[in-house]
Amino acid sequence: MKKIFVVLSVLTLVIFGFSQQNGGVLQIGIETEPVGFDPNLVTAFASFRILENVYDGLLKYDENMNLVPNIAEKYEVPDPNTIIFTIRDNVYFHNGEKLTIEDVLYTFERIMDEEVGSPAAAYYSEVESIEVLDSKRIQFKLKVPMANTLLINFASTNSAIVSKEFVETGNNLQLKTNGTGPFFMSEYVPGDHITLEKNSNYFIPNQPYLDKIIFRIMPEEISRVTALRNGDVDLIEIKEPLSLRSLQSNNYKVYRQPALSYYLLGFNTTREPLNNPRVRSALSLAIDREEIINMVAFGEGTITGPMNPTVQPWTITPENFEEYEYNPEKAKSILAEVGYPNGFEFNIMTASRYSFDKIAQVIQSQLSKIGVKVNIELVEWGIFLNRWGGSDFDSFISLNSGSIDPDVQFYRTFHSNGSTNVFLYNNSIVDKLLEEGRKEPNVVERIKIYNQLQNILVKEAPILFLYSPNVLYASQSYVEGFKPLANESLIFLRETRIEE
Amino acid sequence: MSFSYFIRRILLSIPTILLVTLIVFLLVRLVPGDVVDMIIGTQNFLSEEQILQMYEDFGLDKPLISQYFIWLKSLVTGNLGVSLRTGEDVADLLVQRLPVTLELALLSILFSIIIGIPLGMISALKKNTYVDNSIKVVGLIGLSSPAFWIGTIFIVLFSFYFDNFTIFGYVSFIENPLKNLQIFLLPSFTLGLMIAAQILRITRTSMIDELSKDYVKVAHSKGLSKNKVIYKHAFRNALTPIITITGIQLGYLFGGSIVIENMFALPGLGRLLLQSVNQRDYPVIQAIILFIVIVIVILNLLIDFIYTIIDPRVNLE
Repeated sequence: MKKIFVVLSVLTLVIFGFSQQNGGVLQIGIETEPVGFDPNLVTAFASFRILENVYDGLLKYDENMNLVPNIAEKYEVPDPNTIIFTIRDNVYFHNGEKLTIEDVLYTFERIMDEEVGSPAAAYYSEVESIEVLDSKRIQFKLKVPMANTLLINFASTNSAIVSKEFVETGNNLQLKTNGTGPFFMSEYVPGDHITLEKNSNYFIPNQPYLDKIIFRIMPEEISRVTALRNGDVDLIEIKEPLSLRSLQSNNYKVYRQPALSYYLLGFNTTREPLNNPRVRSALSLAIDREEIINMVAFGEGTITGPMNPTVQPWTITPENFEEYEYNPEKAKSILAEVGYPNGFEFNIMTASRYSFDKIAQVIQSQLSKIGVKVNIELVEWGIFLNRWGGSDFDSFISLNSGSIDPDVQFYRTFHSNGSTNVFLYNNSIVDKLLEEGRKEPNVVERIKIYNQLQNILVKEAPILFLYSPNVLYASQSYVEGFKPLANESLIFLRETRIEE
Repeated sequence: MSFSYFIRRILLSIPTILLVTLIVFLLVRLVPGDVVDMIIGTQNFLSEEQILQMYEDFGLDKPLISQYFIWLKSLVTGNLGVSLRTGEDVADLLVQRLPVTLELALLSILFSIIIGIPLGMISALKKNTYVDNSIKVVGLIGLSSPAFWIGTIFIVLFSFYFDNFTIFGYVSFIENPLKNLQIFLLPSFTLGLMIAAQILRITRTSMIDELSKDYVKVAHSKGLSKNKVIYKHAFRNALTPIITITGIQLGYLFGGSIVIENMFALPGLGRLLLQSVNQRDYPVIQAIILFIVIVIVILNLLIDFIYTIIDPRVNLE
């Protein structure tokens, strides 16, 4: 009986192995270089793109941005103040060491340690205690009943599990990696490429399919597109939708996924005349978002309200807001009512990255039609960030990363104490709603709270939500199984393969 | 030329270098925005205390002047510090990136000499003819076209017409010499063209100048062959300004390499410099600029030395 079982399992493995077409090397052209490799510390976008393939969190996202177990084989929320994770028994770090519950505990202690300076520490500020229940289970107790809100943070790369032993023996994780993910980092040549190789001990059988991934750092879009056309790389990141025009052929596949991130026109809500909510919402009426998408992104984007239109059940879709109507006449009459019959003048600060400057130009021309004169201040990114942080602007164009959870989406941005509330927006009703929403365990009640909040945000318009761009990738036709996610994650590289 | 002259020149360049360290140090800090701003970005999750802690960890909380002396002190002991963003040793970074930029610079100079000097000579010998005028126009185009434009044209042309030509994907010379040279062909040609235009013009002027001098007429009337007069007499004397320009251009190449290395995805010093400026990674920026300054100082010294070989009348005392 046992023999038959062995023979059968070997057979299935062999058949499965062949049918999956394992193997091959995938070369990806990426725009920016990672800055450091410590999953608990990095903040650079490019670092996340590499590390999410090298490390695992307790949870992860599926292709529709639903939370699914990862290192945890299951999670329970027995009450709104408690989360219990049960971890898998077959997870090994790349150096061969087995992942234990102690590593999980150590990781979160490390994240919450002030000295370490992890950007994820703020997520877990409401955690009261973490307790190991047995060799497979760990329990998080929270000070406030926000278990459901907290869960998504466990899928963040900043919460990926690291090895206690490896860190404590003095290895600098910013320079050396030791994860549990489907690939391990075998080479990093700064400025040139990063090589990931298959982890044959990965806890999901048969994954990953590729033997090797080489991330080639190519800052110029034209270089990436040419390298794809030339066959030097297999997959590229596309930042400029115009490039798609040179890839219209059956030799290439184009991947598009509406992103969670959104473009915004943010106001300094303390400066005249933008401190008047009616002025701000008049500007909303005078801005034609559809035209911005067409002119700046060649149609590669979706108009968005405060929550991305795909995020259920929280979103209120844009057509439900009267302020989203393009109606310059009405805008003009509102401005006349509040004392600006001849319009006014203000500055928009932008930087020449991610099309910020182009969006500003379109808005400048649109607002000129209602007599509002916009001066564009184009500054270098470091200067932009410096002035952004000090609220030293009339208004600015930027791109905010979005979330599937309304608390993450709104709290830090619009709470009067929020860490990214550079608009100096201060509304006690908004503050109260944000605090209630964070603690409300009942989903139906929570939806009500955030519906009310979204309506206030659109009416008062401390920022104008403009549109969510599409995440764009292009590959050779032989690349199969790749999917970009709405949060721009490349986690699906583990299911990517090369067809003969 | 004496040994003591060199020692004197080297000693004299120390104040220059010190002054440059001060200027670079202040300049990078005068630009608004610092490494902490860059780390935080527009998605701040950090608390006020964590941010202050970061300034302290990076040593950016101290007054500027003491920051400068701390840096200078570690420089003297041969320690260039570590990158604020990645914690890598700056000296290691320089050593990793230098070969790429060096190869790019040498190949570019090679191209510019191969193109610039012969064309300049032809232009001078056929002065005010159809040939001379065409070369002048080409030179003018070369001089006024930015490298990023020429580079883009090359990338597009080559990807269209040569299917199997690898443009991207750096490999070191030791690893695969042929592929390495292929990768460097377009970037160094692009950069070389810019400099070739300069060399062409200076070669032309200086050859015309020499050819009109009396000793050339004497050589001709002595019955020397035309080639001998041109190459052995006139060209040799015309070389001094050509070498000066070439030497100066070698310094400028570091600037050009910033654009070209980005465009052709080469992992060199120029790329690292741009990236460090974008991220306000002070120790890396300072180290690279300091390095370039030292290279230029040494180049100048070398050029002076070469003068004495070409022209025995030059005396470096």
